[in-house]
Amino acid sequence: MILFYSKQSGEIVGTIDGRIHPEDQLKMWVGNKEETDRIVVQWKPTGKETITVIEEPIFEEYVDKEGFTETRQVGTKKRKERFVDFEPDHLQRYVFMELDKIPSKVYEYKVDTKTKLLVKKK
Amino acid sequence: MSQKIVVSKPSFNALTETDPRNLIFSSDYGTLKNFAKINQIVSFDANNDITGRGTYTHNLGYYPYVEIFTRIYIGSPSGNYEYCPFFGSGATVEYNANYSITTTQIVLFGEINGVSSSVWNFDFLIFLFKNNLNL
Repeated sequence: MILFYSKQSGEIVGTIDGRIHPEDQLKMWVGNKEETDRIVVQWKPTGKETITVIEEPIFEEYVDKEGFTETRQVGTKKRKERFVDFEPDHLQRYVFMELDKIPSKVYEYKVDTKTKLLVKKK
Repeated sequence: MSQKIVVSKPSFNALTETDPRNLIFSSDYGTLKNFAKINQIVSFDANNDITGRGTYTHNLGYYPYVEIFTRIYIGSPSGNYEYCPFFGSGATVEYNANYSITTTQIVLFGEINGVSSSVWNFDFLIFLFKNNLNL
């Protein structure tokens, strides 16, 4: 997520959603650069992996009574899949993990213009 | 013979089917290249203003394809996003949202008429695609 806020009031004025922002997204800007600043939150690998067992059906082809080729399930096979865990590269990563799920909740916050951290609005 | 990728619907042959209605995907036809989802709020106080303007700088250097939705509210975020340009009205009021595109920016506009109180928020949701409109 890239979060844009008023330099003066800390009010959030816009966002660009996403976890990994390429160079051409970093050239984008919401509002006027003299009036707004931004916080860029990129997601990074945590170094941990999650291994999930996935069960997949096995199909085989056969020819029916009328001579048409059909497929049918004859069993299942299990395979392991590795997922690399990512998290926001930011001090307030748990806040940004929540905002990743419901981005519109970002407007419940404003930015402390001194610390550049999100604070919940009263 | 040029190379292409074709995925047909069930019971159609991807190697011979030419009717696009029977295809799930064909590289013969252009696709939208989703690039970014942007949310921007344009706010103004109806005690002083009747219009608000916001800019979103994309810096792509061409006119991109965009889809924009907006919701208009006073106070806490509420209401449904509507397709932009949007026009709404009441007995003696009207409000509308619009936008224009340049090769570097999307300019967002909100306007109200017949209202003289409260802070009005025009919440724009921009879906930006990499496709060049070649305008």
